[in-house]
Amino acid sequence: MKQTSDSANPFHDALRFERRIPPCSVLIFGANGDLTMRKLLPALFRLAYERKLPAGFSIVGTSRTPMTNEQFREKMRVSVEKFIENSPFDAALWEDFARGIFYVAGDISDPACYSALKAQLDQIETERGTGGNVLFYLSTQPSFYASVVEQIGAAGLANHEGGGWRRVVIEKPFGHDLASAQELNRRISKVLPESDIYRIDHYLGKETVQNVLAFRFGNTIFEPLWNRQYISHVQVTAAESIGVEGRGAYYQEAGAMRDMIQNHLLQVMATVTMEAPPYFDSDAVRDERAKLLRSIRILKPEEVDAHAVKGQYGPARIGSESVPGFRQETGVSPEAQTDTYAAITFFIDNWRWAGVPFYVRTGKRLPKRVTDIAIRFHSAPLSLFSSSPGAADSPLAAPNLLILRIQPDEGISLRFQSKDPSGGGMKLRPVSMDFNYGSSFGSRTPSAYETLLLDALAGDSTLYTRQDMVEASWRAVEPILNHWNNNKFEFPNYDAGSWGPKASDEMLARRGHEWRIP
Amino acid sequence: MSSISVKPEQLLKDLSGLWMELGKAEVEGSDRSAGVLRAVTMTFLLGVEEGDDEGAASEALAQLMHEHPSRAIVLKLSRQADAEISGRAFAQCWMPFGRRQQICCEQIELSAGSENFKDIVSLLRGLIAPDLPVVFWCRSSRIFLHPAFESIALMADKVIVDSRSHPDPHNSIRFLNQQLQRGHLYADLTWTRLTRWRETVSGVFERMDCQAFFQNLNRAVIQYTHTPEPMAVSYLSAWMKSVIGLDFPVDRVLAPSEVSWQISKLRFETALTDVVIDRSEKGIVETHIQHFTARSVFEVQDEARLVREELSILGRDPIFARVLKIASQS
Repeated sequence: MKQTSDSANPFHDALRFERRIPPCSVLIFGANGDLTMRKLLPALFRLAYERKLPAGFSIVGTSRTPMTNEQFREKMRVSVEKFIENSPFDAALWEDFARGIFYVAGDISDPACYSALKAQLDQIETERGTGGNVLFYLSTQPSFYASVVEQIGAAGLANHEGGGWRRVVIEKPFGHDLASAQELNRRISKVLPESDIYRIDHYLGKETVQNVLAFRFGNTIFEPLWNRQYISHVQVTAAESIGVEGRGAYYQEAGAMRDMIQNHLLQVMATVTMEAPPYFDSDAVRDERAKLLRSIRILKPEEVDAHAVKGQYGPARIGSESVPGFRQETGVSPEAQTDTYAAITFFIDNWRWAGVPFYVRTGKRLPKRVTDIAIRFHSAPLSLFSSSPGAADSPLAAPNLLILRIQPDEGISLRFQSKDPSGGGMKLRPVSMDFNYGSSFGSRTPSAYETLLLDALAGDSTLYTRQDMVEASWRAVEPILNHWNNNKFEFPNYDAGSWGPKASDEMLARRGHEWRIP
Repeated sequence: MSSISVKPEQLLKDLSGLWMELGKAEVEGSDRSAGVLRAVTMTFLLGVEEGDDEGAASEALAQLMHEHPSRAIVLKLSRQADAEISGRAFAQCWMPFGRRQQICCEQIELSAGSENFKDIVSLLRGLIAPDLPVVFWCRSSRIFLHPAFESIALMADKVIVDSRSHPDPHNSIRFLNQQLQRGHLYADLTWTRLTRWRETVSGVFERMDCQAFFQNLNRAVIQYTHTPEPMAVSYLSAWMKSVIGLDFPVDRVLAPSEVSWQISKLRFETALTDVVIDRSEKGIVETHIQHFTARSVFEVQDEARLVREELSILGRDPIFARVLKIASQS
């Protein structure tokens, strides 16, 4: 039989087939939790539906709750049917998929649990031909991450005699500050090398975040403008209209800065601002992201007040509904100092971005759910049309604005000036040229978890964060968190349903800028 | 929508008028209107014949427009041989769910009888959207056999046909092979329909325990359901030979059945054991490897899906070229 040199599988057709995933299992710790039921299982089933998973693919779930394989399968069926997005539930396929689902009840702090898991994985390898390849998925409380990985190592599960790969996926948060992130990494890296550690940031798995790379490095027209000479400032907004939705106790400890900015938004910002990698390869892309994150200016304590705004929502009426303030939410202390809103002015100290402010804001109970990046270019250098309503000095002046919309209505808009044909004379009017991701590519967009799980199974860590990136982003936000922890704030300072505290508008106004309304 | 005299400038002017009207209607229609998005990513030529399931062709075209917004030019071969050329321009619009902006694609329809069909070629030259790829899906075997076909095909970056609907599929694939050898890009939906089968075979090979199995193969069997033997069987056999070796025995067995699909089973045999891939239900195939069985989805491959797969490959397809060469020689 002929073997091609570039592929171990001579039947493979890279132009038409899905990416090759070797036979493997996924072992989920915390399998009885929300994430498994709402995201992981629906994503894996959808991948099976699209034939992206190999024959014999298996899932092992483990948690404390006693359940049989059959009970676990039934529970997963119910949640897959409920949470699968934009897809049919194929009962015949589920029957086959469910045959590869197993459950082991146990206490993850008990070594006996890992012996049972090893026995289950060995059995699967023999019966379903998975070749010893296992992806461990830590969907547990973050405080268990290090100990679970250590137990994996102690039980001999981190290596496979037959040469199969072993990888671990870790959900955020990666520590609650720089020191704890370093400590977590120290313990995990004793068991597994960095190349087998996949720190998941589901924002990086979003199609539209990935499209930022395609937009920047697949085209030539924007990149020459992508610097301080042409760009006045950048606004990154991640707004949520909902409150803490029963997660008050967790959120009280985390806050907006830890929950969104330290991880998701700094990664998004790095994607927008990084240099082009020499080639599209996991380490090359991550090297550039890491380099960018290391270039973020670290604020001195005395600079924090001018560059960062902490907010917390208070009660308000939104439409005909009365909405509680954060301190009135279940599980939240009436004295809580938690940031439900954070707005930061970052600077990137490199040649490309020196002096360009990056305004990053996120918050709960804002007027709408929207995530976008707005790149505002400098105004035209000369007011040729000074008597027109769109002239640079008029209230209608509208410098070029490039908007990368992450969600909803994923797409890209470019605002520019055009001559208004109505009436006489040279009147300018801003118009928008839109690219709508969903309209131009009508096919279904994979969920972030589908993309990221498939990448981890394929051994592609491009969209996962690396330890040096985690540390760099903690370094950027830690002085702000420390300053906030050392001061008491008068909360609430914004009404639910508004665009955040007044101080946030003032922060931009000091540089002659204002928040756009997304 | 209006019937107009057939001059490219007039058709294009008519399209511009349509866009202005659509934009105006949108603005007047609603305070919350976000306008009309005019989307063109290619020129898509569709060759159909009058009375030959035009509804299915229009439906496939509408589906394709959602993912590949195009200037669609429908070339219709009229039943009446001496029918004059006629043309019209219109827009096809839809409002994506949950959005405020209507998306519209432009469509031109040119029709003529077989005696005048060749004159369509000169009209087309003025109607193709500039600077964008041109794809020609020739859905009609009569157009494929018409003298105008080659001239239209030469305007296209890629030509898509479906040999299984042709009166002499073997002759068609010989022609396709010649065209590929000359550097033109052609695709055959009869080959595209085999992607799922081929992917399933490839998936079996991915299993560690099956690689040794494939090294020791004695023969393969393709079981099909209809006579005459479908072109798909020749393609699949040629594909196996292209991978395993030209001398590798691939037997073809007829197992008559009323099912709508043409291939029902693949069997790979060694001296010790078999691997069987069995399409027992419409949407599912089962792979049997000793005691292990795995299912995978074979979704209904309507024409729009098949063309969509081909639209995702706008460069050379070396595997198809290799297989076509073997199949056209057999």
